[in-house]
Amino acid sequence: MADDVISTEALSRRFGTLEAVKNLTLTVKRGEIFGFLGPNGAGKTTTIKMLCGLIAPSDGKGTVVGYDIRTQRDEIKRATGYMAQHFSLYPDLTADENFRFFAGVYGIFGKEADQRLKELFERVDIMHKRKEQAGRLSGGLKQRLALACALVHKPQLVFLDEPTAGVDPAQRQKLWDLLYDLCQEGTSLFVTTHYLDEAERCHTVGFMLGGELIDKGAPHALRQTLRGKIIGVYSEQSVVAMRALKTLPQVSDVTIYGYELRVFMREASTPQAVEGALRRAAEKASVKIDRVYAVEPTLEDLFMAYERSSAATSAEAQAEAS
Amino acid sequence: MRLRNVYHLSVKEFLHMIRDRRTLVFLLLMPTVLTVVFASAVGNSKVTGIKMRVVDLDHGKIAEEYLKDIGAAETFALEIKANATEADLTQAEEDLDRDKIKAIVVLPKDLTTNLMDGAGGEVKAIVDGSDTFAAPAVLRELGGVAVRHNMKLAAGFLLYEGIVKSEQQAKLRVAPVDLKIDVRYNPELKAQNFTMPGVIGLILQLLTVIVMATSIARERERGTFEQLSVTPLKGAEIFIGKLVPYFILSLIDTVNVMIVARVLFGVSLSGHYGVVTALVVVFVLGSLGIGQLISVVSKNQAQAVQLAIFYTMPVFVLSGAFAPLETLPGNVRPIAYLFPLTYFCRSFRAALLRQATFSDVGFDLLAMFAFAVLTFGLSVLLLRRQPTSR
Ligand SMILES: Nc1ncnc2c1ncn2[C@@H]1O[C@H](COP(=O)(O)OP(=O)(O)OP(=O)(O)O)[C@@H](O)[C@H]1O
Ligand SMILES: [Mg+2]
Repeated sequence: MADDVISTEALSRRFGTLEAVKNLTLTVKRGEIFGFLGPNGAGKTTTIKMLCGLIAPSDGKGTVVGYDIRTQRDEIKRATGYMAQHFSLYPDLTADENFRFFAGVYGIFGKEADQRLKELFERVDIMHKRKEQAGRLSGGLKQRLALACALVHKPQLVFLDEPTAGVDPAQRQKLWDLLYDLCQEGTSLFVTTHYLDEAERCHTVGFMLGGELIDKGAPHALRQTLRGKIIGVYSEQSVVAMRALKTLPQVSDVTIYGYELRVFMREASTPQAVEGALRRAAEKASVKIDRVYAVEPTLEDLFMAYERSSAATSAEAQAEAS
Repeated sequence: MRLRNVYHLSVKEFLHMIRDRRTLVFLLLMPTVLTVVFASAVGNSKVTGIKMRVVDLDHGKIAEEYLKDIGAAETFALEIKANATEADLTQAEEDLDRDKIKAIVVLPKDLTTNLMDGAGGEVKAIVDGSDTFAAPAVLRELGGVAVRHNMKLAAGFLLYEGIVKSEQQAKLRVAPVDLKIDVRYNPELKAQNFTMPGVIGLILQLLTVIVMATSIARERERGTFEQLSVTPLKGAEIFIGKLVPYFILSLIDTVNVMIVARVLFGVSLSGHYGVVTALVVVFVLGSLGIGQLISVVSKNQAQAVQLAIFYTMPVFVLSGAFAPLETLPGNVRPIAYLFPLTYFCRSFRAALLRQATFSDVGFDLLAMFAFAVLTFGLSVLLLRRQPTSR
């Protein structure tokens, strides 16, 4: 489809016997910020590398900005930007020199490069540090410089692999403002992150787990799938209460947030319906429960739910095998 | 390939070079220092001051003359046991065992009397063969002494027996054919004149291979190679771009080294400029090529350095830089011709010492050029085959 900036079909990548990405079928709409989520080793970076032409897929096919990822890698390189998971500019060169180098290899030099440098450096607010060696910049500035370099050739689509890892909240905010700006101008963004508050800010998110895409959709829509499955419980003895509640068959997991417990139910329900059972379990362990109430599911809850279900299925598979 | 891209890469690479001051100073000084070290140590093929003991059991006139003869040779640092006894001989053998001396010359008892009686005699030399540098020098020198001495004795006998009238005639009888020697190109047989071209090649190769081998490996290690790989840059552009600054550095180093060779060691450097330059350029390109090849197959800098050493070490001994190829066993010699340093050493030597022309070194130039093209092409191919950047 013309308004898909990325579209893959059964894309796979193996490293020896390890299947880092399995049968990935994914579409990303043009002009969106797409959040790519998943635990460590889920295959996010591997997917990005296949999409921007750094590694070849073992199987499957795909197009990025309308070009085939197997045969039109050069066209893809010209139309996309890539910001790697690890800082990958030259630490011994200044911000300025780094930028001019990347500008140069995209055929931008002389006056045009000056202009582009001014425009982008002002935009990412790094003008005052342009003579500083890149390796000496703070974490946030490094990422902003890397972003400026990734944008030098006005790509239609930018891949950002954990752009905010190790960056403080204020700097993260600043980076996201930039991303929204870019998106506003029509640039599509493909972002991976482990911060679920950032995931909430994406138009669409995809969840990777063990190399597979297990869910995709708008963050609020995904969260709604957990509606009713999470019950809030307030208790001053939260740790003991958690242990007590975990023994209930209808409870799949309990997580603690200070005095609040988030109780994951196996079936969707209401606080009124389960309050009795919860209080009885607490009484048996002689813990006091103050309140039982409805809570809004978060992406974090969803993340935990996915991980739990995959752990359960793999345990089942193991049990079956033995 | 677009020249513009090559230019951008070269500028970047040049910036890396001047940013890292310490390495730059090292790269500029290392060749010069190494030249001084190599030229003063290895260049010296003349062996002097070998400890040798002469045990004189004869106490006669012949022994005295023999001693004078041996003593004149600067190969030896002589210890003379005059009026020696059998005990001294035993002591000398013990000292040889303990490596206190390298050789013993024994002038046996009654040598003078026996010779005067017309019987033959025997001078015995005991040499420590474990020192393959000293032993051949000792043997050569003693052999020379023996021949000269025999001639002198024979001439003496002829005179004494009245067969000839003068010493002049005696000499004609004993050694009628004289050897007239005309040493060309290096009349003083200055060892440095032979080794210096090899040393220059060796140092140039060491520098270029290591510097180039680590350049791409470093980017791989830092993850910047991945960033390069998502740009529209082509492999060949990356290679040539990276090569240019190091190529220039190598040429500067070559000039430095040649100046040192000329000023400190008086090595004659009087070849045709064009030929000398062409040889250096083609050789440096080939060495940078092998550096690139190493860089492509190594995952990090440590691996690259290991491979670089693994390449340069055998080439050290096989190339004929210090000793002529003729010293290699016949079945090993063909291997030497796989390395550009072999061609460089012999052609560079010819260019500097014998003013060789292009037609003289044409084959060597071609061989080195082929090597450069081969390594370069192979690097590009290998890089293309492994788009994986990890
Ligand atoms: N070049 C490689 N060779 C072998 N295995 C690899 C290679 N690259 C990735 N892997 C493996 O593939 C799996 C997926 O890795 P990937 O880097 O894509 O995960 P990720 O989702 O980006 O994780 P993270 O959140 O830690 O960045 C991991 O198990 C990883 O060890
Ligand atoms: Mg990753």
